[in-house]
Amino acid sequence: MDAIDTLVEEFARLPGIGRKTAGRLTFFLLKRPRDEALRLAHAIQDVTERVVFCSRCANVSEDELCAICRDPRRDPRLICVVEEASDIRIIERSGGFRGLYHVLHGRLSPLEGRGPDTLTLELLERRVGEGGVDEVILATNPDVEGEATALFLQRRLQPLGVRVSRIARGIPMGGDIEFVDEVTIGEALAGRREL
Amino acid sequence: MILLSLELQGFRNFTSLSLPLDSRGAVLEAPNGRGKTNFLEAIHYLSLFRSFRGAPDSEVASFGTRSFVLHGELTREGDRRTGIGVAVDGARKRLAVDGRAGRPAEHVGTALSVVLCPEDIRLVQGSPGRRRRYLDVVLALSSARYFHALQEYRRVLRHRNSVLQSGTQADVALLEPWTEGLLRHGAVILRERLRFLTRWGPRFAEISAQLAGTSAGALSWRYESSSLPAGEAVEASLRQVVSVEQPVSIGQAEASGMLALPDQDGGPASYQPAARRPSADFPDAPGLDDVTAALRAELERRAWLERRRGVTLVGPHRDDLSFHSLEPSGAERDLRKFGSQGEQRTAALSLRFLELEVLSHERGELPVVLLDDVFSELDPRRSRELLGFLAPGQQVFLTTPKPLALDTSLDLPRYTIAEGTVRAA
Ligand SMILES: [Zn+2]
Repeated sequence: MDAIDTLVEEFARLPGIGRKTAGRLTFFLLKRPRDEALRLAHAIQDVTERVVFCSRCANVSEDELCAICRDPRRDPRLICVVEEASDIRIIERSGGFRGLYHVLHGRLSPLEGRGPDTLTLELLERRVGEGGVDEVILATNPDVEGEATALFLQRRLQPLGVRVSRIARGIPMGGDIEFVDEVTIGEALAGRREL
Repeated sequence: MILLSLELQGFRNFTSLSLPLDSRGAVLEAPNGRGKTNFLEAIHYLSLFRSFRGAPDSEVASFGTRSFVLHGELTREGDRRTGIGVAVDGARKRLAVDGRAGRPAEHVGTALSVVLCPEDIRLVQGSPGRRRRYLDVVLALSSARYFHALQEYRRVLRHRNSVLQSGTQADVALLEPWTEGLLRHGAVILRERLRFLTRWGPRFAEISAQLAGTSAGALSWRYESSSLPAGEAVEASLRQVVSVEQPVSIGQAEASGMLALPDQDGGPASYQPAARRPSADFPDAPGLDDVTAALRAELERRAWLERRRGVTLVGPHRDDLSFHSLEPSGAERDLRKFGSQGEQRTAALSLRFLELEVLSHERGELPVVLLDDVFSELDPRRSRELLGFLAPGQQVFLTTPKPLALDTSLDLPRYTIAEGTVRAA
């Protein structure tokens, strides 16, 4: 396979990018000045080499602990569980949450062969089991898979003696956290219900 | 609604077609095999974004291709025009409403149409899936809540079956979240179906009696549930609704003029809009909690069997609807198995009339009516009934292989189809 095909192939693997777009991106880069195109390559290299997962919350981080876990002003008694690290950025923008996070890196989806062992569940249970946590807020998406994941987590966490709640109103049924505005997220967190 | 224009590219035998449409509709007259049904299929595709014949998109695309495009412009009373475009390329389906991209689920029913065709008889004599689909389509187009529940339910079901397929080893803790999802959305579906059947049962009886031309022809329907078994210990109120025995009060209906038989010219005189009827005429359907409890109990009862079979055995996806005639002896006859062709056709036609009436009522607008060669199957009296059922101003597209010999005031422009083109006849 030649170099162009290889790059098209790689782009096409990215979410939301079909073969047509992959081709367009490839030829766009070919037409740019050499160092400009290489900036993208370096950025990708940087990300993969420097970014690791926070050992406490599994958020993306450049250190052992992520910036949020290191922040002494955050309340460690409150943990907000999200599906993806990208969800944290959205909740943070709402400015309404001062606790810590936990990133599952996915959700239950038997159809795609995703069971509990593909999530960072053990890490979460260990965190809660160590004590010092009052409440776990489940902020998985309010769709079929997110709801199932929330229920599964609730069953696993409640025996550990922690309060478990679910973000409540605001997020439209079947909506994706990624597409909900900050005000709505803030309201949803404030109006969470205990499970 | 009124469909103002239709454009097709690579849709069945229409390589490229762009046609302004008359607000009254049209008669498409052409020998069989010219693609008359394809034309109706295209109009209906704009409603549900799939073929009403159950054909996969690959089959809808012109022979030897994988892609097609269709675009329709429609208008509704007191509203601006709306353009709906669909582009299918292989497995990819893109949608634009007024030029803005959208998901099919957001725009299902934006264009509203109902098809009547000879295959409708399979609604009665065919598999339960056809009858469930009938309920699902009518209810989803009537209620956003039902539509949402239905979509979620189907997704949960696939996940749950996937867990069950891991066999008797399937972890209880892994199954539970999907069981809860199944209950949550399944209960909404079940309750809405029961409410619908309770509420519209009397109209179904009236319409079928009207079509049969005699009050003795009134049909009843009954919901056959996989989760609300008759004869089991179910809540009393629930059982009442589960076996919805329609108290067909023909006498009353006749007295109120609802069963008025058509006058000789078969005009719309016999049409009784549902909107004028009191809406409190259906008994209380069971609450969501009752339905959920019954579903849960049945799921628990059959849990072991589900594990053995590796599939979800309880829920609205396993239910059926039966149609019954009342014999002079007082006995009931199940038309699915023991109905004559004529009786089955009457039941099917009644279901379609009801669909038109329900959608007009729930949506507050008249669906476009698509009649695919229906008159060749009907006697003149029932043909008149059918035409009498159409509301003034309702857009109608009908196909026929030979000139229609209908004694009717229906005045429609006539078109013919040849070589993938539609022309004025
Ligand atoms: Zn962290």
